[in-house]
Amino acid sequence: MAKQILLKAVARSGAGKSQVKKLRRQGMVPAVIYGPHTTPRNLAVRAFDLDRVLQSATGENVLVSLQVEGGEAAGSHLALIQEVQHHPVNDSLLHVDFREVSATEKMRTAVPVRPVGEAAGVKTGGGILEMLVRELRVECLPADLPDVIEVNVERLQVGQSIHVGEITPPPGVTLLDDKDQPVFLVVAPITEEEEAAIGQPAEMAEPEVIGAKKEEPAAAAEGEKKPEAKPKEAAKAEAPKPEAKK
Amino acid sequence: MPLMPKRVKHRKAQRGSRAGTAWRGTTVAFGEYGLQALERAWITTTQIEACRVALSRSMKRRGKLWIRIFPDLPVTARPPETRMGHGKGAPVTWVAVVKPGRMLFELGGVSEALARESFRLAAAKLPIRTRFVERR
Repeated sequence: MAKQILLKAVARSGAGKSQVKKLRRQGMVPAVIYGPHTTPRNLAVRAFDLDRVLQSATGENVLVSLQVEGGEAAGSHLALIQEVQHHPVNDSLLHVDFREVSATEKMRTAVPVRPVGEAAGVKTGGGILEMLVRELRVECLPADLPDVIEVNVERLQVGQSIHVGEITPPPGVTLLDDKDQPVFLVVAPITEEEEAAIGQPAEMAEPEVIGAKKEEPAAAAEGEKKPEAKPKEAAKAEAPKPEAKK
Repeated sequence: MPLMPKRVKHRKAQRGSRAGTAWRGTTVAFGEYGLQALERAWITTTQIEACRVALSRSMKRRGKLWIRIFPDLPVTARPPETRMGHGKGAPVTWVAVVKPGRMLFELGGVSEALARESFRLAAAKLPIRTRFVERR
């Protein structure tokens, strides 16, 4: 079950690009807390603390006990890390969303799913285990929220799959996804012929131009597309051709 | 078959902008490991194909490969020894505009060691610095 991690936050008054940039330079990460019974409030958390919380948990599906100082949201809040934004190049933390949840109310979230063991089709048949879904939508109380849902895939032969309906959720957890949705699938490996077909080199042909008039076969064979002059525009067409060679 | 669009609205295009960083297509979304661009470049269809061949040969038909970039920008060139003028040249190749942070390729169903080695070979075919990333 997901453990609660303590995280300190402070109320944030400034919003906007310049304010949050200033905040990030001070080693803080802008955050927001919202929920079904909570007015959205802007917060800030220490980047070091948040990074430590994310490192300690499986994925970013973390239940935190948020201690907010100052502002109208002051006090303790039970919240789920809803979204973490990272910089695309330097991977630094840019922003975090907290979703306040009630300890007594069922909540809906997505939990990562992980295969356990090596599928028989992979071990003996040389197949490839494909994960068609990486997260399952669940409904449960915050106390029952699992870190990860593990599924034993050892019985899977090539061509076989495990669907959502075949997965036994942890106690207190309901799976919300369609029961016919496949989660794991063992596919046959690519044959040499298939691989050769993919890699066949072909001449660089020009793509079809949408709305372009069809060329005559003789003109098309030349490879170079020349503008076809209409009878009434024949005089205009006498002007220098765009692709003329010297 | 080299990667290029099947149908286009115009044969030739302007160069567009390569400024800024990639803000979409920056995470490992399909596989478990990815090769991420750290610099900006026009990656040609030939370079993408060279990477694909290097990756598929290295993986020996194990695992699955995703190509996360597509060359949709036509590049034109003038014939050699041609004087200036007389309009824009003929299309010669197609390129994908890659900005820092863009995920170029992804691999799934292989070990980390094999993925690292495969991406090392593929990265050698590219004109930019790249890095190996894992699914978050």
